[in-house]
Amino acid sequence: MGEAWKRFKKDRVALVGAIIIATISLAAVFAPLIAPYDPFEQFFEGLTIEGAPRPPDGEFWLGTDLLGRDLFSRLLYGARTSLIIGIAANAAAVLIGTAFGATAGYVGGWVGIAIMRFTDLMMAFPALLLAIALAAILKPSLWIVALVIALVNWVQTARVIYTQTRALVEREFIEAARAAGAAWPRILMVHVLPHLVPHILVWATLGISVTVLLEATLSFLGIGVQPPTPSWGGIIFESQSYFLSAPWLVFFPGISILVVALAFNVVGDGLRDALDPTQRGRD
Amino acid sequence: MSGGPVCAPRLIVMPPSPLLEVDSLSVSFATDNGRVRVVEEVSFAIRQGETVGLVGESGCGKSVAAMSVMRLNPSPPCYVDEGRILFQGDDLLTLDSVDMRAIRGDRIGMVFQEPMTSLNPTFTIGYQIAEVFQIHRGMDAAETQRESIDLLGMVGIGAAERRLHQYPHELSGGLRQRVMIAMALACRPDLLIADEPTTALDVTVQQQILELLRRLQADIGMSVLLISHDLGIVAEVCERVLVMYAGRIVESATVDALFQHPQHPYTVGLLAAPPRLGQRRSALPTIPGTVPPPGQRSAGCHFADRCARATERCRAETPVFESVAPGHDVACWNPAP
Repeated sequence: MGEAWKRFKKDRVALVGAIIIATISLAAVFAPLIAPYDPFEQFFEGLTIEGAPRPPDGEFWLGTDLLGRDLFSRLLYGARTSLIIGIAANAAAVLIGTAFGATAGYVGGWVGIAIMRFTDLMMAFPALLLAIALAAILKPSLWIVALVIALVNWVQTARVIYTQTRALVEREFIEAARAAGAAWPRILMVHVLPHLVPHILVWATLGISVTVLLEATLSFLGIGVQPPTPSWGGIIFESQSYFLSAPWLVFFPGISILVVALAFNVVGDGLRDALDPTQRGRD
Repeated sequence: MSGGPVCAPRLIVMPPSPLLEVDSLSVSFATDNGRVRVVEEVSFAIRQGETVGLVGESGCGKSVAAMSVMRLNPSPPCYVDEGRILFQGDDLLTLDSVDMRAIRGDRIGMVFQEPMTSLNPTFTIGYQIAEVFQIHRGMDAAETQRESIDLLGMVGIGAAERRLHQYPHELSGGLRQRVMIAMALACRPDLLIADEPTTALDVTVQQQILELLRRLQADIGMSVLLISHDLGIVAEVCERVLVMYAGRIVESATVDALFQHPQHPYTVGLLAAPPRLGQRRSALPTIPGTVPPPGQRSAGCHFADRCARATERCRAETPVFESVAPGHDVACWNPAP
């Protein structure tokens, strides 16, 4: 693990990504301490005389929203929603995907065919439509949204893990393990899984950006996390019709989503290079 | 037990009964064009402490036959159609998977052709040897460490303690094959199946590995089934040779008898094929034609189409595996004089 960290440190871009993620995560955790205002409080002075949201200034750093709430505070609390959903939903998706993919790849035969045809079916179906349908049936809340995203997003991971497992099972050291009398749970856990770790980790990080975007999309469509709970996508959704008169309401949450997604992407790339298990013990 | 005619012949086999007895084993693969037989009614036996070579060209079914003993052929597409594989009295083909796993790596060890890829690149040598002990002996860490060091010493790897912490890619091909052999011998198996163990190694290392196999065979007293396409290697290590052609065993003899009086025309051709140093010839001797691929093998003797001695009978009837001298069997209607 130490060597992987050494390799990761050399990757400047990934390191910057990791720092951004750490900063935003800390900001989300300590939001009550950092936030200058209560994110739910509608300030009288938060609106202009005409009742329009206030642009960024010294009092409200990133301006206020349509109800006179402080945007900076809402973004900080929104980071909590986005990161919790991003991490939890994606962890669940990767877990489901790995379980199905590795099983299908290792067992093969009819079980493998059945699982993989099911993932084909899931992929052929528009993910957003499915998420909308699921979100409509299950009353939206933070965890339901996470579940919906996980149920939609596990397929890609399953595909990748399936292919990798398939290739691994053909490798001679797996046959050698079988010849040594190892039972299948041992082969799967001890000999196959470590080779999948880089792929799992890459999907665990790359997938987070997809998840954050999907949560933003769902919230934007009004079926994500329900107001007044702040979420980045939700803030854009609430303010979409005012983006000409109050562009900061769309710009700042948009930038936040972009930066987080980008950061997780570059960290994912960096991890993939750093964690290649065949690099262990080298250099 | 009396040897009366009422007794089933199986019960009056002569002592000592063989360690491994393969009895008319037929294996086929399911392909898009239907079932294709790759191993046809192969029978052979290996006695306790005996080293037997199984030779044949690529694709003749020798590996499939050997892997059937371990039951490691993937199924589908590979199926054993008939036959029995008796190992120490148990029919391996009827064992359940738990009993079969208990035999693999414990009573039957296996060494593969490619030492470069047969070790898991993500674990140290020590871990991979320890795994065998864990599976079959349930040893604790200290005991495993001690046994592993002994084992590496046994296969001629010096500085064993340091080696245990190395990864496969830090070792040379020869060392890796020694590690593979060490793993196969960890539980002191009664039978070692070595599938082309030296093919991927260069000649000097090859020699060392063969030397090692021969010494270990004598030390442990195990039986060895050595699969090879190289008659030279077999001659060096084995006591008895099985020659396989197109899915059938065509000749079985002691090494001396086979080299001095080869009976099957295929064996004769094989023995004539290797070029000899110092002899300049314009063309190397070959056996005309190619091995018929599985699924396109004709009735009768599969070698008939390439055989100078073939008769009408060879093309019509499958030759019977018969004894021509004590311990020398040939499946040929018209053996070489």
